[in-house]
Amino acid sequence: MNISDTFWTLILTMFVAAMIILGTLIWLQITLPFFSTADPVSYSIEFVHVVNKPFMIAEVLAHVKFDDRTVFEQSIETSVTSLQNAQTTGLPSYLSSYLDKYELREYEIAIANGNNVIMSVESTESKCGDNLEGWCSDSCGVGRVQISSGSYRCPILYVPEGGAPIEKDCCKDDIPAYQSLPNPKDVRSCGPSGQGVCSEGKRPFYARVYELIWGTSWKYECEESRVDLGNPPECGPPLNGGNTRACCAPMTADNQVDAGIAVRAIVPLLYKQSVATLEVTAR
Amino acid sequence: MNCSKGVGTAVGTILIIAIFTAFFAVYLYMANNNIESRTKLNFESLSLMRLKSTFSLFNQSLGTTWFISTVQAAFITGDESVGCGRPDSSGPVTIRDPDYWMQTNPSFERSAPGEIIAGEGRIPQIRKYNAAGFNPQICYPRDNHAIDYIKTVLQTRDFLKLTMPRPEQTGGVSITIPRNGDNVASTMIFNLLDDRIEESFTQTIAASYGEGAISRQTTNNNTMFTSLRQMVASGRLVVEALLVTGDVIKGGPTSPPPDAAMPHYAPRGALGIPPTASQQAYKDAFRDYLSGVAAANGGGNVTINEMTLSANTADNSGVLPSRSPGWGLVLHYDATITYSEPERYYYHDLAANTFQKKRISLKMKVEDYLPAIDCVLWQPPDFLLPDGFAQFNWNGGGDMICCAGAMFSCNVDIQDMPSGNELSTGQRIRNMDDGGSAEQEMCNNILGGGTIECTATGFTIS
Repeated sequence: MNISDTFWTLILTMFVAAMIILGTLIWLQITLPFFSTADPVSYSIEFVHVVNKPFMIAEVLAHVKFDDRTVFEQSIETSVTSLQNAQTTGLPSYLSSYLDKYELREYEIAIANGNNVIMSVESTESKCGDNLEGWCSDSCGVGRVQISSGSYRCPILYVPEGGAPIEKDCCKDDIPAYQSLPNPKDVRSCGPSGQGVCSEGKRPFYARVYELIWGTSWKYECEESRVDLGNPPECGPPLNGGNTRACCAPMTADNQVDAGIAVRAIVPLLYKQSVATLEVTAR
Repeated sequence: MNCSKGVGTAVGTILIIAIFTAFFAVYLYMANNNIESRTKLNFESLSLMRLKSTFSLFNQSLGTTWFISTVQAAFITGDESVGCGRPDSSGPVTIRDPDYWMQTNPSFERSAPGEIIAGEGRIPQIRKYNAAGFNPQICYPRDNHAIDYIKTVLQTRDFLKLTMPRPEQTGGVSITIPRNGDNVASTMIFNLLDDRIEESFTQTIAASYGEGAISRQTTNNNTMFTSLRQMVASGRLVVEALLVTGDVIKGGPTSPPPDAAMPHYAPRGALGIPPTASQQAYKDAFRDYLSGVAAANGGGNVTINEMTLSANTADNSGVLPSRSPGWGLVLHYDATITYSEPERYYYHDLAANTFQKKRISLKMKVEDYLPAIDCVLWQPPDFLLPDGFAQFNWNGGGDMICCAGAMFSCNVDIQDMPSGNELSTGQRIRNMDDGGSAEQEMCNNILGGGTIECTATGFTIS
């Protein structure tokens, strides 16, 4: 064996090692959740599923009969008159109990005539408070305040030995109330139509390490039960020392649709010259 | 030798590296291409899925719109008596007033059962109404007329005048349906069966979204459960029965004596015939008779709008033809017969803007003028006079008589009775030279010397 053999063997070994490292990185990129791009195959299936869901729900509702009328019949008659006048006051609770069986993550069904929302029903999962005005979350973040869970309680995180169960926080979107808290962070609107606020988001312990190694900013995600609108520049430094980089909006159906994480199926409801809509939003 | 071995190793290594690099490059290219093509496919899928799903949901929603509209049309068809007395596509309307299935003109003589006008009998075979000239005029809607009226209601009461949704009301999908004037161009087919109406609406729906477009003829089939057809058939049977009633009732003695079902105004003292207790009893009996006719023909419920007994006049000369005023009694009735079925569907009350569960009902009106008493018939040879005259009860006690073809009353106010025929306590039937009327003298002439006097308890003969 001479120097030339050793050199080329070393070169080959280094190349193979580089390939293994590269392969490992690709595998990490595919599997670990904090990388921005997911596996293309699973991405595709999730995408199709999300798009289909509200249309499938609307399709099913077209054939479902509550009491003595189908959902479409009740919806059209409600849109022409009102819940009381169409004798459909039971429709919201029927829809809730029907859709809750399917354990959908989020849904909202509304009957609207122009800007007038005649009826609206949404999933209660992840919601809390006496009037379902709050969202269960690990932390509330900027723009939200913690309220009492009330009659709709949040899931228990853990039960300390000999202590009371620790539940998730019940957070309500309420900027004025947040600003009246002691030492609030500066509140700045963000998002395409200003529907979000800059918040801390989730800050894993390795975020700082990542930023140091890669030299780029960590992708901060919003707190639980908020719509993530990314990390826009207006949320970056100097706002709150760069600690509120996540732009987070309330988890409303409109915000979810705008953010592209939910899809809305709209069914026109026609009767004579009245045009209303049955809107099914789900994800 | 060593040199050539080193070159060989180097070339081998370079070749291996080149092969690895080529494989890796191919992998990266394919992976990248895969992501791009999938992403593109997904966005195309979203567009197509939205178009296809919105089209499908709109079509289903439209089917429900047609169903609700047909239910309303069925309600209206029943409430408006299948359009009887109202103009529609079925031809000339010969009934005077809306909702009537039978209306008699008292000024004209009643048509005989076998009479033919314009090639048809009094019950029309094809048309909705019998020909002008028949008395009574009838509306006799058959199944096709009921279907025609349902279509007329849909076409003229805004049910087809649908406003199309704007793209923002359909998630960006543009939807159109061709129009026929103001109405949506939809072909309607109805099949009227005993227990249901099968409906079919066919139209062309065009939808477009982004680059995609769908244009398809769709058909919405629905079934509504109603016995409207049976109700209409029952209404026709009632009309037939009332036509026969008009043929039979003459206001005179009948032979054999009248059956219990058909009321006749019977006099006091006639052999084998119980006297009618009063004019109210006669009207009650006639009301019961109408109820019996409706009950026997489909179980209809009768509401009497008006029922009067009055003396015959020139205005109702067709009821008692060739009789002078005050020679008999005319019964006029106006009734509504209602057929209904159990509540199943919701009715849109436009005034209250509510949808309320309501029975589908058929309401039909009938009006007739019949001779209750024809005094000409209550004398020989039709009726043997025990006292020379026939004595009836208006309020009771024989306070009304038929004598020599004329009618006289005692202490009672009979509508339209000529004053010369009305007597009060102490007054007698007198000859003309004694201050009586021509009718009174005719009556006296057949009494053979007797005298009829009005007393507090009715007419007495002495």
